[in-house]
Amino acid sequence: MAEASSGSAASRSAASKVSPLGRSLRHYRRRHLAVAAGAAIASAVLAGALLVGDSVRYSLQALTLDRLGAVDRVLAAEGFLDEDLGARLLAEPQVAAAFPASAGALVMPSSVTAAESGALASNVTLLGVGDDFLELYPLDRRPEGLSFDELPRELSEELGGQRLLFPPVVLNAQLAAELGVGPGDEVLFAFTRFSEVPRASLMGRKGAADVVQKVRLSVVRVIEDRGPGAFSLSPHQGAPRLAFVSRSRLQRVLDQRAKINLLMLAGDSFDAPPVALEGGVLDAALRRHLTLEDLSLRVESRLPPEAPSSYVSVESARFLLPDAVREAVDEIAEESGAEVWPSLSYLANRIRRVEAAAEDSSVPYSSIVAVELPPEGKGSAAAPFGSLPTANGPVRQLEPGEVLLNRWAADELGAEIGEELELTYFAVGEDENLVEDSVRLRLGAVVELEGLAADPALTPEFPGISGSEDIADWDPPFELDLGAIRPQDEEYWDRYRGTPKAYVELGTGQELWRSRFGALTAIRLAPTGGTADLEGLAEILRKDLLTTVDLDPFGLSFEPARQKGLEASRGATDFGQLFVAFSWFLIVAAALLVGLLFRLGVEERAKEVGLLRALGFPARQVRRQFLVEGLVVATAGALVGLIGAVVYGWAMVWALSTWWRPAVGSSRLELSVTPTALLIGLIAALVVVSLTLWFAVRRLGTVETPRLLAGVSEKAAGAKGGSGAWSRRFAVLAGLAAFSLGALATLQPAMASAGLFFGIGALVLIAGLTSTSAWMKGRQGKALALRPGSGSLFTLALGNAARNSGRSVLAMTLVACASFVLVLVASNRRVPGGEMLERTSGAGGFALIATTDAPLFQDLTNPDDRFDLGLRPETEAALEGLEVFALRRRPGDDASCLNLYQPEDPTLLGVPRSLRQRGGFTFQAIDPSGLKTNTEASSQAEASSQAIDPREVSASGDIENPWSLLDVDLPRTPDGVPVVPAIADFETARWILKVGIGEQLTVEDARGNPVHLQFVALLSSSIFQSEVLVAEEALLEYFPGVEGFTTFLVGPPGDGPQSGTIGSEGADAFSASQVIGARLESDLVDFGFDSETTAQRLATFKAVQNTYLSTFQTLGGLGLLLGTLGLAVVLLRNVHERRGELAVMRAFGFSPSRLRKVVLLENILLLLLGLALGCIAALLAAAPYLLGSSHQFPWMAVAMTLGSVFVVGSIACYLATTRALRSELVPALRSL
Amino acid sequence: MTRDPSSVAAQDRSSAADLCLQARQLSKHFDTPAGSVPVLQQVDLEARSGDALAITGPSGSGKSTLLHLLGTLDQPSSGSLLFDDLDPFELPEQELARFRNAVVGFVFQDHHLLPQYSLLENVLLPTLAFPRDVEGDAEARARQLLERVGLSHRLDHRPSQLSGGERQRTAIARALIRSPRVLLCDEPTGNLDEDTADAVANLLFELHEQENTLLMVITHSPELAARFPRRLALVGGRLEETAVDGARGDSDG
Repeated sequence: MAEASSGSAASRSAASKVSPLGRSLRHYRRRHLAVAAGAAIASAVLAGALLVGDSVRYSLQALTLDRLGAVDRVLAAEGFLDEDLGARLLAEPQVAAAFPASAGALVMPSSVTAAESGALASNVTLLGVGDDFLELYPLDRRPEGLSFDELPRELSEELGGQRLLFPPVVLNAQLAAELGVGPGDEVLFAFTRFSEVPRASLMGRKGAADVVQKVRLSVVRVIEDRGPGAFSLSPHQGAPRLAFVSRSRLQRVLDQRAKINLLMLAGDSFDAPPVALEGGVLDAALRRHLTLEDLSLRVESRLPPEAPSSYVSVESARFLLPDAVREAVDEIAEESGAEVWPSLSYLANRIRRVEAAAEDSSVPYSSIVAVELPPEGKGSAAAPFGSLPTANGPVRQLEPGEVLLNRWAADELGAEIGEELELTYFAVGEDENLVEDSVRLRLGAVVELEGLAADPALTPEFPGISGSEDIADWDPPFELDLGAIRPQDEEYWDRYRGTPKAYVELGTGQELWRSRFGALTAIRLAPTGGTADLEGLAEILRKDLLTTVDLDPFGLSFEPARQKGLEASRGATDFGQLFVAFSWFLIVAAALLVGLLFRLGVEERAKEVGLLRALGFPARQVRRQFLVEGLVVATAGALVGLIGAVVYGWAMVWALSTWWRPAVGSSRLELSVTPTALLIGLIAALVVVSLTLWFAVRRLGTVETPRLLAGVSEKAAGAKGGSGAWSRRFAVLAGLAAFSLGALATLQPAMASAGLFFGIGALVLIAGLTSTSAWMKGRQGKALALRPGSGSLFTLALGNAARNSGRSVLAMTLVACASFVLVLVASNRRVPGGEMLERTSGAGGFALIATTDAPLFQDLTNPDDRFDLGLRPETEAALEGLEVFALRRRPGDDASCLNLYQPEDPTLLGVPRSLRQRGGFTFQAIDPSGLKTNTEASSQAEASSQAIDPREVSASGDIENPWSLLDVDLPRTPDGVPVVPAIADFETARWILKVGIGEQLTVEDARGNPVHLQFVALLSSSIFQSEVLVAEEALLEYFPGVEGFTTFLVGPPGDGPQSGTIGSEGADAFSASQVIGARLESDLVDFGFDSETTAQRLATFKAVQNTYLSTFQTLGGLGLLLGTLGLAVVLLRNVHERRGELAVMRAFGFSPSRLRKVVLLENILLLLLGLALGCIAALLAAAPYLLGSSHQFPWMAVAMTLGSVFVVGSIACYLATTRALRSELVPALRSL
Repeated sequence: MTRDPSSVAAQDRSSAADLCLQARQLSKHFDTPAGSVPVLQQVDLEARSGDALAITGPSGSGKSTLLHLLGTLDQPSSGSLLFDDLDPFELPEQELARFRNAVVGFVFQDHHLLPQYSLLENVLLPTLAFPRDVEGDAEARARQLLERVGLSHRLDHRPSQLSGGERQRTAIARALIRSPRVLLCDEPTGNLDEDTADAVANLLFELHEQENTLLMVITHSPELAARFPRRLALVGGRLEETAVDGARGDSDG
């Protein structure tokens, strides 16, 4: 026992004496250096790629923090709020503890024109701010000497000091550059005039002058696009277009004294994470400090004798009461036991007896109230609101389909009870124009003009009507037929003002006149305890309404802007993954190089392996020893590679902000070196390298020891499985598979998809490589058939290439795969052209796409509307007969690849029914389950879903119009969340929103409730990459505040080619469209009309993809070069191994130049074979693109890349051969 | 027949219970693309500890192949090989390696010293394969062996700094470090000049006697073969006993 332990102790000492690892590392350091270099490249590229991802994230985060300063929460109101709301909130200790500062601003989305040049900038934010806004930014970010409270009225001394003609405005550099203006220049701002009354309701004003407000300002200063000069709440890396005026000035311009519409709360640091505040604290504080006026609500109590009874009324300055108010009032009434009496007032243009002769007896412009019968109440509180009196006592019933007239109107018409009356009124049409509509109702009773029925307050204030002396003075938002107004109508107005002339049942009235903005115009409440409680009830309402009402529909909730901004800055695209993917070829090449070099090293030490085996070292132990050695070397290399990672990352970030700028749209990228990225890169590189090393030593165990001792590292030829039998079988199989897929593609063109062709290409590549391998292995056992003659050099070269088939095939595979990928990627590069005008293209047959900042309520195809908009005759003429579609847009985040931020709340476009019926565009995928639930076309859909692969449906087949899927009624989720069918661009869904077909994206509707958008179809390469499309009806249902139209699609001029090929005519159509676009831009400048051709828009999107492709090509090219280096290494090794053999040939009289030719030929053969195989396979795989019309194959770039690989490879071969053949003859002979 | 391979190795080396190596009907052929090439045909051989054999034969007669088979580096196509009662080819790979490590020592024509190690380290190399099997102070034995081959003054030199004879003497020391029962030498003097070859041969015999190994040498040097008491010749793949002298070769023979 003692002996044994002393023995093992001794052997331990022996082991420490012989430290195999250290000795090998030192002895073979030159060989190891090459392996380490390979590992270094792998880790540099991997970690570097991850650094790019982190840098993009870091840069976006830095950009977000720079823009927001200390801003943490924002309250963006639809209406206006008191300027001192911030101060009042900060007076609460809990709020002040979290948010030490606040600032209020007036924010007006605008478009701007340079007065002199007429240059237009749309999507501009005009900010009315004070110095409290500047204080939200670090000192070094505040423009020096700038005070928004006191903007100078003259230019600075350096600029001449002249006095400005118009109020001063400060522009940020981005806006100033786009407009081409500087200090002293005049600019004209146009923005949507504030309207408390929804424009899309009866009382909304939609005339061009009513919608747009303009103000002329003088530029006093231009500030940098950073800090306050880059303020933006929307996640996009592009510099925003900003203009600043002093808050008080803008308040005067807007006629909103001491009001703001954006309140910002700031945390106490500029780079701190979002402030964590217990949920509800801020909301509760806000409710304590809001006023009813902030909600546009009026709560008034009225008493007799002015009123027929004692009641409290709740009305809205918006005319219609939002549903949320009704819900809150009901709740309060229930708690306080008050009686509730809601009503909806409307205006009848005419009331006439159906049986009367046409116009002889009709009553114009009458107020109608839709009500339930006033509650009867009990005891002392009987009939708290009074009742509608008739000659025979109060009205007892009011049926649907009935109308009551007051005595005056009944007498005017001579109407009798039971008779049918026709009420004509304005309805809001689908395109938000007022259209006359009418309804026939039966006269149920005649109400006496006394008591409740004589209360003019039953009709709330009609803006532009209520205060008028005469009807003739009315200024309603619609056209008034003054001719219809008779003296007795004026008399009624003088005497009874807006007292309703007619009553209908509430349900009937709401069915006719309710809108998405509300279904009531007033709610009366009466205390059940008599008049004494009236003031108490009013007080309760004033207080409780603010605490009870859902504030979301009013846009009155604080948004965690900082948190959302930082979340979005994680980015939609992980550039880390992207660059790992782009660099994969470099990584693979580096790993293969490591494997190749290491394997060569191991082969060189075959005798060592053999000896160790002979000495009784188990094969596993030998393998492990080599593996550990390799790993130590690789780890050292990979660690050094981390320095390279920083360099690689820096280079990529630099390239992204310069050459590849279209991919990121920002030059504000900074390298951020994070330990995590380095660590992950290191580990990943080590995993990759270890696998290659394992692969390299794996075969050592299978070689017979005597062969190893003889210095041979390959198994004996003729051993089982040798001579390429497997390779041959594999080659035959792959070839057969490729052939049958090709036959399938030819015989069944419908099945010929891009995937199929890729499969054919890949199989051809595999077949080519394996058959080469089989052929080489087959040659090894055969005589060379070497005969004197012209071909002998070639035969020699062939034989030599086959000599070490494993190595040759590996090197060739590297080159073949690289060229395969590069050519394939290059074939994906496309530019949109004239075919965009076809209906099935990504532009859907439209030539122009335009957006406006202020909504248009006019129809561009309607001559009257065009007149209202003041279009010039030449614009009118150009528009004549053009296909124009107007779409509603709910502004949100840009969901396209142009936005680096992760869009949380994408822009939504409402697709009108007409456009859905028109169809067009091409779909990448449609959801077959969506088709089946579509009852309209279920039979067709079933047929189509069987006939075609749902993932690869082409809309060119007229089987189905996928747009109709937007009409599908999708069931709500079990927890009651509505599901709305949506369409997005395939690229947007896949890469940015990260949803697939049939999957859902959840957004918040205007009330703050979740709505699931379910993607029923995905467009292929369309112009709609920035937004998500839903049916217009759905958009309005969930976002009632979206008014008017802000997105326009215009068809091509001329006959509007819808099919067939368009070559040069396409280009003509586009230039003609550009002219129309320019005309509309100048005519509709006040709306911020901004158009581009669909080809331009698609080219912008394509530019990103093409840039990605360039990036991939560049990095892939580098990988290919590295692969070529691998080839050179193989060659060097082969020549070195054969230097004895070559020396013999020289001894027999072969000239060095002849030998060099043999060796060169052999290697060029391998190189060419690899390049050719890769190219042929790639061209096969890319056949569908290349045969398509819109490809732009960069022949030159590809030829250059492949050519340079060939040249570099050949030079490396030449140098290696020359060097080997220059060696001394005799020592070389000895090495044989 | 399963015996612990180390039991063969563990037998008391000084005891008279000698090891017996028996090869019966050993055949070996190689598969080539051109077909099967027979190298050894039904070779029978029996030898014991203390025996010293020389195997001669023309080039390509299969001498090295026979040595590789006897040293368990290669598997026979047919026939059996027994060390006492143990058939090493029935052992799993790991145990076969262990058997080889403990029982067989090799001296190759090409010394196969590892260039990265010093002489001492090269000699110690076999003790690293199964460190736990090593008894006694391996390093002391290595130094002792190197002293016996006359290289005690060059312990820390690298193989590249040695002459051919010195390298081969180091290789012999390495072969003996684990006190193998069988010492197989493949043309141990083939690359050496006459004087050096003599010295190496003397050393072999000397150590063989001291260690009581079964010494088997393959050579085509008639001089070297003549010094062996037992000589065999490989002719046409068959092994023939050519001479059995009573005496052993003298150092001056």
